[in-house]
Amino acid sequence: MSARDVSNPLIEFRGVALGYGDRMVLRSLNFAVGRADFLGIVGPNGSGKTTILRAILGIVQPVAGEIRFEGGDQRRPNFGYVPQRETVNELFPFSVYEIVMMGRYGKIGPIRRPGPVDRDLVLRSLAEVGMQDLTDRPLRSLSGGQKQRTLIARALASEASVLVLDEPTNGMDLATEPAIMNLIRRLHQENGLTIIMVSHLLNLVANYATRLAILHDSTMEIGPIGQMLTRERLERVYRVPILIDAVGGQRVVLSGREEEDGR
Amino acid sequence: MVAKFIEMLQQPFMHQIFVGGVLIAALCAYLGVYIVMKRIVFVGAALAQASSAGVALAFFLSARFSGLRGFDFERLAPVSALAFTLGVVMLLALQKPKLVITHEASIGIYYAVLSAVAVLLLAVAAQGEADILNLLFGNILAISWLQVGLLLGLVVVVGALHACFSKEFLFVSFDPEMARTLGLRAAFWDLLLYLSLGLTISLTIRMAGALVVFTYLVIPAATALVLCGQARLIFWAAIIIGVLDTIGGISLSYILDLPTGSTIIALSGLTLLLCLGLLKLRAFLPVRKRAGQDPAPDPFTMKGNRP
Repeated sequence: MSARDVSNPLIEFRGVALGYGDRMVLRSLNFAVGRADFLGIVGPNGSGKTTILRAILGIVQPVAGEIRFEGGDQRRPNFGYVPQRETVNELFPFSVYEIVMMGRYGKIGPIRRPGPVDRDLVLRSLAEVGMQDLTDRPLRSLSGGQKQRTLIARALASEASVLVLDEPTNGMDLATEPAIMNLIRRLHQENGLTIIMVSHLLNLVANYATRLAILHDSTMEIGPIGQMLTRERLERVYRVPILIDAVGGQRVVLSGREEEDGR
Repeated sequence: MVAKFIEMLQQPFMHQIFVGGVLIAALCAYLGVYIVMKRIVFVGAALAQASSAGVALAFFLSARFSGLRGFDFERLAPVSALAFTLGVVMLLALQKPKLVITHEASIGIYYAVLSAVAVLLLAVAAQGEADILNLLFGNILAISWLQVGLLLGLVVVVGALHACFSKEFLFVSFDPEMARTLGLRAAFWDLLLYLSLGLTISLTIRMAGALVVFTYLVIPAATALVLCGQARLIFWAAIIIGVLDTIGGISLSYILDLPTGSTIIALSGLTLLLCLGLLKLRAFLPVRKRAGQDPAPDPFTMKGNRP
């Protein structure tokens, strides 16, 4: 399986426009996501990053155009959605195990209770993200990194083939951020999961994704990460001077005002 | 006081009051956990007022058209209460999000307008003030065995619904977007949950009053959340707290000759305050490490414990 096979797309946007009521957020979206793709979606605040994720998940319907899936509309891929962890309701003290089991509810169906297969899948998903020793702990008692691992485990328990992540490292410290990103990369490389990740952290996406989509002015530019990360393009999108460099084998994108930097 | 308590237990009419009160408390406290968890406490208040407005309409029609072809419109109270409550349930469930008038604003509007409608309808009815007080605080002492039978039927219906679909109700309440992504029809399960809530409120409000029912929907669940650290225990804790407050409230009101509804409400509030106080007190006690519960491991390696 190639790392980026968009000739036979898993998800395809054809002339899609997205919006809420009269407000149009994105227009003329034409792109495809292939099997085992790792697509990073970035853009300035309010550019429609979360809206595009919600459209992929079927939560927001296109105003125009169509979203096609491999095998037709009736055979949507199994999406494993990992929302921003700040949006998860922590008032109710569900345990880590109970939250990950929720990933099975769509498969179990109404009336029936989780069986041995479901329990086994939940435990394996927890082990996959390194949370097997914290199964009884309430979500609200966990650190930010542990909460994120729990939500990723819930997506895995749903037997997802596409992991859709919304700002997975938001508000994380220097140590936790690479740990979560390395986990996502491992799931992509070793388990063959397609990854679609939204982040406002361009540096983060630049070092993990294989393709980059940049949203700005209601449109999208998409391509391989090397082609997309050019100074001209980023300066046009973010409207600030940009410096692209490499430190310790990692891509680094720096922004700033010329008068402040003295450049 | 003990003699008065024994005397109370020997009164045959008190038995149906206790059984009825316990059934109302248990059912409302159970559903209240969803209300508190979904942070829609105002929905409980709005539905209670919708039910009150339905009852008030029946009282108004009864007062204005009494003796019309020999029909007593007050008999329509349960039906009009149910119709008003389910009407608001449908309006809330069908409202599209992201409109100028938000979901929260709609709930507030229904609450305010329906409260005013109930008071206005009762004000022009014959015994306006008495009916308003009755509607707000109810008269749990007037519960009949027939109403207890109705309550039992309601407990069976709502209990069966929730026994079958508890995982769907919990999931769409906890994380509706993820539920939708996994193919669950979140709007349908929300509607079913609201319908069970509407049915319960409309039937119990005539027996216990709007304020008492609203209290049962909020305070036992909030108290259970204060006390319990495990989700699966919260429903049982809320039911037990609601039932104990009811038994205590009815007993105290009989012994001290106080209004029953208000005594139950005051006792529920006191129980919550006591539990919050106990929680604060526990914070001053030295922390003991519970067996088998280590501190959270290092989030970076996920191995070992944090220093």
